[in-house]
Amino acid sequence: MKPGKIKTDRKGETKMNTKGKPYPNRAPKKYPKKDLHGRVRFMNMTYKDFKRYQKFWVDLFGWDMFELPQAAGGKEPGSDTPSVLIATGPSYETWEAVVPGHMNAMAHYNEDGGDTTFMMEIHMDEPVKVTADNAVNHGGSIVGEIPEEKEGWSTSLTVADPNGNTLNLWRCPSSRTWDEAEAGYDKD
Amino acid sequence: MKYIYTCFKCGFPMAMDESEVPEFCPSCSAPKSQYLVEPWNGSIEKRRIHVDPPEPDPNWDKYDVSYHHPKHFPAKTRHGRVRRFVLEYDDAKLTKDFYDEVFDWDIIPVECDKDKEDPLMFCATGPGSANWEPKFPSFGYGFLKSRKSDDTGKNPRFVVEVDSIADILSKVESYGGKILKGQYEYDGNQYAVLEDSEGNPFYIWQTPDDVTFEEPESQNYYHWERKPQ
Repeated sequence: MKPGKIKTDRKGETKMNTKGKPYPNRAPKKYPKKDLHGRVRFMNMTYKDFKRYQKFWVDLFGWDMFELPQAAGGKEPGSDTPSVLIATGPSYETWEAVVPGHMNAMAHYNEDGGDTTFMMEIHMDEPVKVTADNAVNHGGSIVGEIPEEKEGWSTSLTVADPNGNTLNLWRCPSSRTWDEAEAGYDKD
Repeated sequence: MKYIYTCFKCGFPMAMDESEVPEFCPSCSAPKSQYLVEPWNGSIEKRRIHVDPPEPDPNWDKYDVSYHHPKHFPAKTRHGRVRRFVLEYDDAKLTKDFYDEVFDWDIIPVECDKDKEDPLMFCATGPGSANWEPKFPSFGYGFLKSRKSDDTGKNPRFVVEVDSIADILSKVESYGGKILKGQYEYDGNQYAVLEDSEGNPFYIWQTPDDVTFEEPESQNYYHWERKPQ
C-alpha cells in the first residue's frame, strides 16, 4: 500500500437526514490528512463567442466571472477572448468556493468548441510521474508530455481515463498554507 | 534568497526565490510593487504578514471581468451551482477500478441501479458527510454513467442545480441554447438536458423538495476566518 493510501471504511454509520429519515447509504470513506489527491476541483469549459457565452451563464444561472491573470496562464488584460475564472456559487476573493458542494470553473476561447473537462488535484508530496504511471497501469493513458517540475510552482499534466475522458491533473505548489477553506481534510 | 511575498491587493501569499518572483500577481494581476515581503521562516504556515481580503462591491457590473471579489450569492437557493461532474464509461469495472486505485475515490451505484450491470455510479472524490455531499468547499462529487444510457448521444459533462426546470426551459432558447431532452425523473430526481449557446451539453437538476437549506452545501455564508476545521 503506498503512503497516504487508506483502507475504505465499509461499515459506515447510520445517520438521520434533516427530516429524520436514515440515509440510504453508509457514509463515504475517510480520507487522509493534508492530501487532496483525487478531488475534482475545477471544471474547464470552452466558448466561441465570449459575450454570448457570458450572457447565457450570467443571466440564466447567475455565474460571476473574472479574467484569469496572465501570470496564472491567462491572456493579456482586456482581451476579447479572455480565459476566465468562474464562481458558480458562493466564493472567496481567491475564487475558491466558500461552502461545500459546488465546483467553480474556468472557460477558454476555442473557435472549434471543445469538450468540458475537469481538473483534479494530485499528491503534493510526490512527482506527477507517479500518478501518471499509476494511471497507465490501470488502463489510462498520458496525453502529451510529462512536464518538468519547478519548486514553488504548480505542475499540470493531462491524462485520459480508460474511456478516453480527459483529466487535467494539478499538483499544488508548496505555497498552500492549509488555512484555505478548500484545504480542509478529515482530521482522524 | 527565498522570501514570502504577500499581495497587498488580494492577500495571496507566495514563497519563492527572489529571482523567480512574477512581475504581476498570479491571483489578481497587481504589479510586483504591491507585494509585501518577509523572510522565509521554514514554512509558509509561519508567515506573519496577513492581508485583509477585498470586500465584494454590491454595485459591480455583472459583465465586468476585471479583478473583483465574487458577488454575494443569495440565500436559500442553490440555483446555478455546478454540483456534479459526469464521466461516461464503456466498461463499468475497469472504470470503477481506475478511479478507485489511481485517485482513491469511493464509488457506489445509485439507489435505483443497485442490481444493474451498468449502473449509474456516484463518486466521493474527497471527505464527505453522511448524505454523500462534500464536507469541505471547492471540490465536487460526480457520476460515472454508462455511455449506452445516454440517449442524447452528446455526452453531457456536468450537472447544474436550478430552482425550477420549467423556468429555465422557457428561457434557454432565447439565449441561444437548446433543449436536448425535456424534463424527466431518475432515481427520484428531476433532470433535463440542455446545450449552452456554445454547444456545451449539460444536465440541469431541480433542487429536490426535501432540501431544507440547513445543509452545509445549501449555505451562502462568508467567513473571513480561514479555519476550515
